[in-house]
Amino acid sequence: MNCRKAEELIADRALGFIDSGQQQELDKHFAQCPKCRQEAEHYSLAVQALKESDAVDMIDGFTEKVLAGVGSAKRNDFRIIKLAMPALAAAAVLLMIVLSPVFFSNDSTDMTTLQVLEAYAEDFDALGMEGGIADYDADFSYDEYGVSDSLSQYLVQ
Amino acid sequence: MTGIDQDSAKRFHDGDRQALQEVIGHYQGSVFGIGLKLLGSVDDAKDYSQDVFVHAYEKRHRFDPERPFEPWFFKLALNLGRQRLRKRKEIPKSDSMPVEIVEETAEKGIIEKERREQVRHALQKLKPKYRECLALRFESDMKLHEIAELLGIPIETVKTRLRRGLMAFKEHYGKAGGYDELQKS
Repeated sequence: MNCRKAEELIADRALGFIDSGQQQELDKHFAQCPKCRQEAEHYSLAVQALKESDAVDMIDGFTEKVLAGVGSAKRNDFRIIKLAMPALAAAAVLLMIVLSPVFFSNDSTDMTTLQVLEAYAEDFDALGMEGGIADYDADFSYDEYGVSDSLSQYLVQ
Repeated sequence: MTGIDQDSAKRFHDGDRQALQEVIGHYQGSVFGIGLKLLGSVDDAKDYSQDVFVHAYEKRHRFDPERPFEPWFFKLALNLGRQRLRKRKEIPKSDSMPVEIVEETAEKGIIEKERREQVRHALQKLKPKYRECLALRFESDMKLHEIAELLGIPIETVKTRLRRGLMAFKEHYGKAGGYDELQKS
């Protein structure tokens, strides 16, 4: 057994994982390796340090603090907020509906004639009507969208 | 892992404050120790411990009183510890450990305190996943299969984490002079 493997077993032994066979292997290695014997000592001390619990007296009056914390005003406030969440959500939706005209205004008077034409032309392309005027329904007219027949010719070029 | 009896656990679930006191009395040392090992400072561990019990009490309806109490309780404790570690990442702290000012007059007390600082310092150098396993093993005295179940990982992985965690801890603790102090005391 090399020292690397021995160290794994030493760590396992300190953690209480090894069986008697592994212990015998380790003992053989210890017989010829003082460095690993010292390592084993360090591991025991490390585990001892980890096991030694920090004094509970560091948290004097702890139970009282927890009992005071249970159902404290702060947490009650939080609970009230949680209960009010559906009402708050409904209010938010209502507000969005009321304000929606502000955000989704379809007032084309803010657009120039050219912008309107470009927008329709893009729609046309998006519909895949590359054939232009031949493809679109004869009943359709841009007139109802505020674009005169004289201007609509530009859309189907 | 020897915990509270099933009757106390059931009363805790039903909101009995006496049962809460029993739970605190039984687990405050373990929870404080886990907090200290995970978070590294006494103040954080105190705050964390308080949070764990308050949280457990407020979430008690999620505990099934027909099942053992400890796995549920320690999972909750561990999750709160992880939350705190995640928050800490957002606000990185200096590498140095906080110095707790406690009135210590006896030399032995000072040495003991220094040694505890060394343990905490060495633990903080480890990856959180190693710290978690070591804390559960040494503070709550959990068996391998219990840790595996709680963390949702195979037992072999728990063993590996414990071994690697201990190996790393041994190195850092040695560099901090931990063995010298232990051998003196």
